Amino acid sequence: MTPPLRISDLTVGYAGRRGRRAVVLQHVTADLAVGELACLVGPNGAGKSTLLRSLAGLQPYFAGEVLLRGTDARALGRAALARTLAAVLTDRFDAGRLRAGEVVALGRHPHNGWSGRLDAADRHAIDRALRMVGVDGLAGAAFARLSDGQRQRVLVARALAQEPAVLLLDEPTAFLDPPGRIALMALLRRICAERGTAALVCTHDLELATRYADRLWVTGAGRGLVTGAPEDLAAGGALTAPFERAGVRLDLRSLTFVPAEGNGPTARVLGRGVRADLAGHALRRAGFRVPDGTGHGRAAPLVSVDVDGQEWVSTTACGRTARHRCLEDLVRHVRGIRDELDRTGPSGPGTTEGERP
Amino acid sequence: MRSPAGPGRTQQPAPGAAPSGTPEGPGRAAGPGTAPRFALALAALGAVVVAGIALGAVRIPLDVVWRALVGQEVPPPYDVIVHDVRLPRTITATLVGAGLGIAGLQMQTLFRNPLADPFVLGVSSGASLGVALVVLAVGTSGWTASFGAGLGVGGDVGIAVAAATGAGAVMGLVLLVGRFVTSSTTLLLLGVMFSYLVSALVTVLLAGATPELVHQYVQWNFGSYRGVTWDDLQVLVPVLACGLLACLLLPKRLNALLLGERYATTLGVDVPLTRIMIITVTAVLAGTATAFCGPVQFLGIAVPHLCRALFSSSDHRILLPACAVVGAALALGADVLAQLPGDEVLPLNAVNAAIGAPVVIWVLVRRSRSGATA
Amino acid sequence: MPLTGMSPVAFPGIHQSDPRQEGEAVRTILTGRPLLVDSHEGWLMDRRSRPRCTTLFLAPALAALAAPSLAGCGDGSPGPSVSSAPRTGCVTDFDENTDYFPDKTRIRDAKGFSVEYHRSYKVVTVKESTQAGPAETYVLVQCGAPDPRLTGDLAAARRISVPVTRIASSSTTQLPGLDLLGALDTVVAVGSPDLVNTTKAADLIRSGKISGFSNDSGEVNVEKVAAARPDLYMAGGMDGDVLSKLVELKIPVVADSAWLEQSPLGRAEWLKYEALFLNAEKKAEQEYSTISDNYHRTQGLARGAKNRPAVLTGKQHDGTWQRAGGRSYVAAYIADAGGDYVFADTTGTGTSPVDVETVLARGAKAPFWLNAEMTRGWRSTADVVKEDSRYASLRAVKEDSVWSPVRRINDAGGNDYWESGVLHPDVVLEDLVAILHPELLPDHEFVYYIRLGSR
Repeated sequence: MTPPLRISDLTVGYAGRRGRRAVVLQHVTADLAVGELACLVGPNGAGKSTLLRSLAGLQPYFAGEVLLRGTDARALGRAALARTLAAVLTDRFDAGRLRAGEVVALGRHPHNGWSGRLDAADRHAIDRALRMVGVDGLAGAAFARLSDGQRQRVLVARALAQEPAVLLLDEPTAFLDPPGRIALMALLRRICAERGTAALVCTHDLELATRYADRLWVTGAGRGLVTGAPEDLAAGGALTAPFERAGVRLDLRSLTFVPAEGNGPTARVLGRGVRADLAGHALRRAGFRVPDGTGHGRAAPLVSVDVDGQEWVSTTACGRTARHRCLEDLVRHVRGIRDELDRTGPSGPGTTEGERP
Repeated sequence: MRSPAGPGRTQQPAPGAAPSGTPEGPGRAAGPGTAPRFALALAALGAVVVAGIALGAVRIPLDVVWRALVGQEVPPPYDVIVHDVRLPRTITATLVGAGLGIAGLQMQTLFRNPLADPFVLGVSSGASLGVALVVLAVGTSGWTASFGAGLGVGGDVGIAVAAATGAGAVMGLVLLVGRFVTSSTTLLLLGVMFSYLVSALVTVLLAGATPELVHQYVQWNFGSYRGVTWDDLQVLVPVLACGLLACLLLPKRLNALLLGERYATTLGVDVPLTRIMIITVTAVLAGTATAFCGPVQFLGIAVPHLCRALFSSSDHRILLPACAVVGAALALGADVLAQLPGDEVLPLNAVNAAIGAPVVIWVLVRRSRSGATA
Repeated sequence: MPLTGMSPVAFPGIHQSDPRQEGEAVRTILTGRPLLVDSHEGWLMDRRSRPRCTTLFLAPALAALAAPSLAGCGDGSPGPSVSSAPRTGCVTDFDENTDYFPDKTRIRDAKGFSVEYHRSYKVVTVKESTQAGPAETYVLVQCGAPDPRLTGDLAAARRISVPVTRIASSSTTQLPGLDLLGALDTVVAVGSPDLVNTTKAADLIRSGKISGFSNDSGEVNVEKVAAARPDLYMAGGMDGDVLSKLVELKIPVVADSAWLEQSPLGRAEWLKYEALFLNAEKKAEQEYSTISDNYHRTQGLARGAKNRPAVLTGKQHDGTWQRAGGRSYVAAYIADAGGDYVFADTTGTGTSPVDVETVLARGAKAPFWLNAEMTRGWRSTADVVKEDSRYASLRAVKEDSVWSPVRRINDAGGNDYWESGVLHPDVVLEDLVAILHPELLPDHEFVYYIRLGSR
């Protein structure tokens, strides 16, 4: 089956100073299959937005081919292009007194006649879009008065009303709170699944992308694009290079970013379960290295923490024990031990360089 | 996770909104209140038109007015007054008001700026330059004497042509430079700068003119519908009518532009072409109006805001006709009021602003109090 | 070189007719330092202190101040009462018991000025120095007589030495009077030389004896005025802020509010005002009596006419008609000529903007339409209708009786109606009577008025 979007050897960039071209990505080849949700990820400035805008027709590309349902995008007229491809951008606009329903209705622009009158098919498409996104109750509300999350959903509905084969979204979760982000990605997933729309989401939220995307398109390795399933890319190392930075590493098991471990003292958390995990979280923030269960051959832990009912028990290497009702208390205690150790030196009192007891 | 059924920050929906599930549906242009409001606006226009013909500096009994209109024998000078003074000014004010209202709406949408008006791209400066230059072309000896004749000449199509040409030239220049400019805001600024430049030229011309001519130029600047004769109308009516009809092509594009130029592009709108269309239609409407009536201020900026408030909509399929009707009513109404104080006539632009500005202020304050932006 | 207090004759070395000769060095009287005339600006700049001069706003003021007005400190203050070397009309042996003004003028029709005679000085008061402006008083001191000691308001009044010998005239209306008094030789500068119709003045202008100091828009160029070294500047009513600048330069400025008079004879009588500065009251009285008698005779003739035809005046611009009030100058003329001005019942003395309707309602049936277009813009009634088709409904247009006083306009557009016409209302009145009542003056040759032809 012809993929809704196929990119062949595409080179994109922007016009630099004095007419010189600045190439941002080159020789990009990728496909988007029916019903596929792909996420375009990469570090800032690596060309994600440029690629997306070029695909949306907002920016010219320098070389290569973009095929929409098998036809070269350049051969399609504006209206035909708009019927195939819809975008949700980061642009903010003054909606005036437009209602949410009217914004969604604007999505029918490439379908209705010169007068903009909506016929039954148009209204059906609008209703479908509203229901799919879950904002049909808001149709009469003023767009300008909606919350960020609602507005974003309405804009997705607007794009859906265009009944496109391909949806392009540029940082759709940027202004949303964490639950809102997840809701939106889940919505996109559902849209792709139920309507067969292919979606390309440009995002800098890698964790969200790895959780929801069928494929990742990764930029940031030179000027090329690497595509593949998130886990494959992780296993193959394609995700580490673009994202790792001093002090940050990509944890391949959870596919999340974590601070790179420094040279702090080690603490070990015994036990399993939520309370144990939370203790580990707090200790890491305090600057301790907390290995997961498989850590072996490391330095002996300075402190061990165990869970006992509603409390936590800390045991130092020299056997001092304390019970804590809350983690803040535990952290303070453990920090105190560490500071004391720093003052007196690792091997005992009087040997720390340059310090007096 | 917020429930999608909730209305968001405010607890009640916007006024005039159709709740979901009603027969109107979310996509319809007209809310429940639109048709009656239109009827009201048309009725107001009708009333003002009647006033425009029936009222004036000279008291004429209504039956005489009627007889004059239908062509029956009427003692002079009433026939001349009704037929040659009141009727032309009514037609002129109606068309010019409609044209400027629509042109203002288009400029505000194109530039996404609530302060834009039809003259923002230099139309009125270009027109005044045209008028001033035509005078110079008459010849150096005695040209100062002709300036007055030039400005005051209503039946002389030459002046109107000069003004329209001047307006068109400035707009053309703006469009030309605008082709290298992608941002509409930049285009707006360009237009403003051109306006200043051209005004500077006009000022230089005026500096060399005698005080009588300066006075006449100042009077031209007041704006007036009453200088238009039937000969002028033979040009004014077709041109403005064409301009108004051309606007029928635009509501869909203008609506798309509400989302911004990039969204409009993804919707399939040819934005550069749309820009040219809008600017051209505005130039024709505003340029013609200025050529025959002088620079009529205020209507272009105020009528769109009034209509948005009165019809509670940003949909251009409603707003375009609304601005035409409300603009016409406001323009003619202001002209009728300008006469009322008595023997003397108040300058039109003064009346436009004095009546309209408080209304718009009230509208904006009321809306801003309820938390919206415009 | 001894000097009188006011006149800026501090630049005797400057070539009289061209103040812009480059590099001409001149010694000032007091400081002895050379001054340079800078050709670009006409400014006088102290050679050594040029950089400092840029901070001083008006270089001629600087030069004037460098001149012996050390005794003066502001306008109107009396300067030293040293009389100059013998000048025409100046007294050499002053006798305080002599009445130096044996011919006293009596004002009959003008309402805008008054004069009070004393033995060696006259106190002249202009009621409205500018439109709706304050009154101004001048003390005209006989040249050669000592400055009178005056108290109260008069102490601060402007002092002018009479008879004046170098007049700067800012309105062409003033020239015919000066011509009639034989004083055109005293005129050294006029505002708009191109617009002048008075023949003798035009000759003097052409020969370079009279310079110009205003531009087309009526703006007065202060440096040019100063360069002409006038000892009297007669304002024209439109000079504006320039007047205070001129006063600062110690140029005696006097108002000329003839144009505020609403009666034709009253305007003409300002001839006597001009005469006051020239000590020419006798001639002025004679001439004015003639004019006045002629006027009254024609007026009496008109009173005997059988009818009083209705008369319309003015025209419309952009739908507004500048309508003359019932007590205005033109209304007075019409009444005196035996006509009935259609708006005679209104009370304005100037013009007010009224709607076209109002005028059409009253003027449509008037058989005469006067003073519509005051330039040569209309050559025939066809032009009238071409300008605005509504004029075609006027009876005066239909009957081709549209008259304008544009017979005597020079190439630059200067209309003699506003020049000699002001001084000779009797001639204008005759024209008007001949228009309105042709049977009374059957062989009249029109001087100012011309009828618009039908083609």
